[in-house]
Amino acid sequence: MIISVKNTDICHAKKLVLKNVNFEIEAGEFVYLAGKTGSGKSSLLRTLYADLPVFKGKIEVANYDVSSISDKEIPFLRRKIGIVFQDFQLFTDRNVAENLAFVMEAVGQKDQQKIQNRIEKVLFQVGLENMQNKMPYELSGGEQQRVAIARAMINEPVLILADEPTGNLDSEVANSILELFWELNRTGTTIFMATHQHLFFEKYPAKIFFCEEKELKFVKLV
Amino acid sequence: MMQKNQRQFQSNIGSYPHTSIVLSITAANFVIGIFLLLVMHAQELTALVRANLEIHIYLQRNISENDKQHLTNSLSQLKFIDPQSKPKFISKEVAAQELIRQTGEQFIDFLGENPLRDAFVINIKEEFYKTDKLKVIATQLASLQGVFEVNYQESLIDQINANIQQLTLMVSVFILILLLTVVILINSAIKIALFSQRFLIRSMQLVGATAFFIKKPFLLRAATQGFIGALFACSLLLLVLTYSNLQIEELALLQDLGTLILLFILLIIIGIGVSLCSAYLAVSRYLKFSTEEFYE
Repeated sequence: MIISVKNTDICHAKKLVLKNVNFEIEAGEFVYLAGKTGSGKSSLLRTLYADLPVFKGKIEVANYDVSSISDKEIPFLRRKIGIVFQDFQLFTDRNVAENLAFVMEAVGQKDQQKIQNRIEKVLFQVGLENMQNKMPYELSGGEQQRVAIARAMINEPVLILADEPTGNLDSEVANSILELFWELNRTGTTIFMATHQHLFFEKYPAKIFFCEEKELKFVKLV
Repeated sequence: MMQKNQRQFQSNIGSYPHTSIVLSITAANFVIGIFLLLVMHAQELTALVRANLEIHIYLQRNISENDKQHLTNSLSQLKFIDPQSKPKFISKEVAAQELIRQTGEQFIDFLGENPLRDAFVINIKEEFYKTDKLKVIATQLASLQGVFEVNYQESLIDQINANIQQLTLMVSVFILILLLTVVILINSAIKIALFSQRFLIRSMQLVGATAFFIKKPFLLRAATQGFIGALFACSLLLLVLTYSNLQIEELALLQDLGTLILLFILLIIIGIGVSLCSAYLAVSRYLKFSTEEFYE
């Protein structure tokens, strides 16, 4: 079990967003989190990576008890997870290679040769070889999101949480990003992706959780 | 061309204003340095004036050579006498000649005898230049065998002491206010600079960097800027000093290399310390922010 949520209320800014949430995600699964804007998708994901506090219930992510996690432990939880955001969250003051290197150095990797090799490998995986020295603002939206995905992958996380990763991108680029996530899933990484693009569900069917009327519902695909 | 423009545009938003921070630190340190230099000069000047103050010990008439020698010995053993200037003996004849030279009157002929007395002139250590301490010293000297009278310019010493007390108080208050201003100035410069970096700090938190790992480069940068700013301030102060010494030659007498070096080290410590603390506080603050607070 990589994610386990039991009897949890998801709250944001002191308001209840989702009531009595219960679900589990197994290692290696690909799960969509669907729902309208404002239905609580982001709040749920943020609770999973300890950006929002848990007031009720029990949440376990990658063997960390998120419901009782201390501030000191949060960075270590996040190292087990790769997080991809709608607005990319790249470090705008440094180039692509330095963006990726920071994450490796942050977990204590000091061997520059290893860092360089890993950067080349992940950039190849996301189709951005030769982009190492570009600054984030020199890249298109799709390319920036690929860098963000590469950064999320670089420490080989067991789980990737993606919060509307295609929300800012046109449909063609969005499709290619979705395919990238599926490729990652094939290598064994668990993917939990929030999206409101229903076309995805037809193209790449998978388990779907649906946020509606303050509840999380499980929808089985036909 | 387009790319170049974009780069320039990008470097203006969200980038770190190195120059303005270093300038703030330089300006703040320079002002505080100027004031400290002023204090240093004033202190040297008062020390100089004090060291030139003399106590006159007039001897009894018809004192024997033996007693005089004995007195010389006991004077040189007194602990409050400045070791750099030995008690100076002025015989009444020498004193009379000096008086005649100053007044132009042959008063010995007029009076029929020399009314002056033999005397010792002593300089005492700086730490004994307190009005009450001087009184004790005078009594002690007067009680020595063969001493007729002890004389010093009481009013002058009183005046100097009173002025120095006032000056020290005023300067201390000024320096405190300045120090506060410097802290506020550097602190706000760094706070504003780090405000533009808050989203970067947040992104770093989201990829699992520990608080210390995020802080480290910011602290290093702040310390470097503090050091460079303080160095600039020291160079400026050196320039000012050199220029003033060229204008007023005697000024160099009041400057002591050791004290100057100490002052520059102090400025560097202030520069590094204040910017380091400010950066630490500012980054820590953003590290504790929740996402909502970032957008408020």
